[in-house]
Amino acid sequence: MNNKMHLKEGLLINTESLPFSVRLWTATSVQIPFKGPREVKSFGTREYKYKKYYKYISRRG
Amino acid sequence: MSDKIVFRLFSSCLLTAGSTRALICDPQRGNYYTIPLSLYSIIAEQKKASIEETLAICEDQEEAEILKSYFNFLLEHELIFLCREDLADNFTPIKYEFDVPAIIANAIVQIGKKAEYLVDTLAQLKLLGCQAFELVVMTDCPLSFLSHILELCKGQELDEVNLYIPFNPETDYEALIEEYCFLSSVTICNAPTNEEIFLNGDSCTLRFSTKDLRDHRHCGIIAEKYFIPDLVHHSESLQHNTCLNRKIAIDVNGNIKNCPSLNESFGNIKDITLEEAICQPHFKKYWNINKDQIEVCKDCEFRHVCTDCRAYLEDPSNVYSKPLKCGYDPYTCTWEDWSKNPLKENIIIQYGIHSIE
Repeated sequence: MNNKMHLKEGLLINTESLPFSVRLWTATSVQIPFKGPREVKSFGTREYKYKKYYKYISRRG
Repeated sequence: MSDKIVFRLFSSCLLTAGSTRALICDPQRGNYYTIPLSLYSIIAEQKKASIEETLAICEDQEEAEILKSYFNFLLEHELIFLCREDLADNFTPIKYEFDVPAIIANAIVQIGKKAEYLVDTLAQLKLLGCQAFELVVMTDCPLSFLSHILELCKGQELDEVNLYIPFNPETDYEALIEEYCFLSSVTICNAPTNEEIFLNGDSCTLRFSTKDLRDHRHCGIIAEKYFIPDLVHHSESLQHNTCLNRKIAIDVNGNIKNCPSLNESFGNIKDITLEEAICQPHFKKYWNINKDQIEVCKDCEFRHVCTDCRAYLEDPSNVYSKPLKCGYDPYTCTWEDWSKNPLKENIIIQYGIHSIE
């Protein structure tokens, strides 16, 4: 099976007609094109969670 | 196998409906967008409908074009995705449970000239699991005294230490922050200028303010710059108070409180332990007041990215009253300067906020 789903004519929506690439979920794995580097953040680490959570102990201004 | 392609909201994206419009928050990117309530209903219902089926229910072509542009927006910003109808139930919703491994998670401690109870307080906070700490030095702060209290804080395994100190022209603050790299922010009060500098690879903010921000009456500001589009914050907000939950404060006289701006004291640090104070029946009374219970806030689309304040209220006699220092009106979707609202004038005087420097 082709792992990149192309919608046939007559289906309810044709993703290729949209002005940008749309990620379509299928039962098989889909190779998502690499879009370029994103901002590096230590998501999921203890530091990140706690820093975000306790960002404002007080809000003085 | 179904060929119908339906749209789904990403599980990580959070929806909040207000009285006039709604908010869609993308916590993984730290973004949020306001959307009309009609679009909120379409997304929140999560019917297994295709975009074209949804567009077909529009009354006229113009409405369909507007809705189509909203769908384009949602897809472009990766807030919704498309999938086959028979796979649509495979995406598990996120659980909004909240917990942190701490009895007290954040603390504000004011100290005077001697800082006599700081060592003991820090030791007690460590036992309670406190992770974030704000130290407010209420007296003059020569470098020797500053170094002394920072040495006491060193090695406390705190994730965040914020410091409020008075301006001293002889102190090299940048060198100080470099030496005590555990500091998350240092605010210099009564400084000649307002300035913000990011140091230690942006892990510490050095802020100079012409105001005396050590005065607790400066606190409780509700503004867009303090919004937290974060899943942990959202989860906490659904169940707890986003300012006072698991917070403790010790004022300059050693009185143990929920917040330095609140009058009620649960004893003095010289007489009782923090644990004894927490066990008192009323200590946790604010912890579970969430934004869905607070007047006006419960109608606001920003309520789960916002932070609360129970110390300064529009109606001091009502604990569920809107925060005084919020200038947002969710019924008109407009911001105004809260301090210039004539309806708040008397309350501002009552709290003594009008006379702060």
